[in-house]
Amino acid sequence: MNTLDLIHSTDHDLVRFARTGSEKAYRELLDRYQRPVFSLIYRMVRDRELAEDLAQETFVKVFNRLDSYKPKYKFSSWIFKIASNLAIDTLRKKEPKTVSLDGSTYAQTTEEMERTRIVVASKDRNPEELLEARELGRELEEAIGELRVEYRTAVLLRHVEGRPYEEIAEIMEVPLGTVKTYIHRGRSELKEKLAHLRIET
Amino acid sequence: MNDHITGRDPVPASSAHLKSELLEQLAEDSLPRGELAEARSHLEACRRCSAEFEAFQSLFAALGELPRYAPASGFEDAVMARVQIAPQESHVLAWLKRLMPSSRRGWAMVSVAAAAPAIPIIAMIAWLLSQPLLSPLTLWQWGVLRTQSISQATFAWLVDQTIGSGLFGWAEASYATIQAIPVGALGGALGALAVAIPLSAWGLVRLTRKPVGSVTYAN
Repeated sequence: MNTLDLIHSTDHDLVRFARTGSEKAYRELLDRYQRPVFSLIYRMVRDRELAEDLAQETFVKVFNRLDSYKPKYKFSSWIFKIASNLAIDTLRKKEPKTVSLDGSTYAQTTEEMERTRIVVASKDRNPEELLEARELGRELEEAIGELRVEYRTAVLLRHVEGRPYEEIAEIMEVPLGTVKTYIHRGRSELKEKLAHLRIET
Repeated sequence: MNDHITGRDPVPASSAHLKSELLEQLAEDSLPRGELAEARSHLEACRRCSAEFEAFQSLFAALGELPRYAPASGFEDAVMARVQIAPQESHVLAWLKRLMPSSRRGWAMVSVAAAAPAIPIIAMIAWLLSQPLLSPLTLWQWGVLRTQSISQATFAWLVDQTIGSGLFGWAEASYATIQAIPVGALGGALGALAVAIPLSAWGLVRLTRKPVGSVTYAN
């Protein structure tokens, strides 16, 4: 199986290849999901180092249990379910750390602070717009961080990962109606919190 | 949101303000078509709902622009170092596995397909048994006799074909050739065969079970 074939393979096929011992298939799955999984966990736990550990744990758990994967479910649902459960369990076990929008609380140097800072990237904007967008991004990240963890997970899966409601219900293991309520409440809270900002699309 | 119902904006007296859920659906392009025209015409007339709709639109756009963060470099290798990769299968075995059904439904379909030829046979036996002059015992005896005669005919045909094919003539000729070979050369050939046969058997086993050797995770 060459790399090009793997790139065009579905998640289900990659799981099948990985089960037959193809290291490249594992790496392709990692390549596809490391950013989505890490971003979701990072925004949930708001701590880069902790998010790295949990994301690593997620992949190790998933990869070492490929035999128990049921193809009737989406691979993305499975991996997001494990990721969000790990993040929620961790948040419940410990008091969440103070949100640091200027970077990880573990950051020692300016370089590390810059690397771990939560910033919204914007394209094709003049400096003023860029500043506005950055401000909006910072406030938005902060507002997301203040949401109840269930609302936060549902809103992130819906708007950042673009997952359909049915899949979010599967990931969070709650009825569809509950997911709709979580997302509605989360959005309403965000809208209220950001009402003071002039938001332009 | 509740004060929405009693909004003070100029709206047609017949209609209250639109619900937040409906405005969200509209901003998300998921409002059912039947409700679309009414909602849009309300938005044109109602400043408050229009403002809330725009706020949702802006919020969704801002959420959609949030970046995806990348973990630190070395993340992949750190994960792979903790993953137990399954022993690699040969291509032949993997191909055979791919042919196997992967779900219960698939297995059910294969079973039905395999059982299909048996259905007319079972139906025929059932029909025969329903005949007044036939009992299960006579049917059994008839079946045994028929099977015996078919087996005998097949055996006789096979023997006939074997003799007719000149196989025995070939065997005689081969025996004469082997007798002409010097004893030393014959012993050498047999010795070579004694080594080659186990070797090829070992090769076949290696082909079907090919374990992964040392795996390196360096880029």
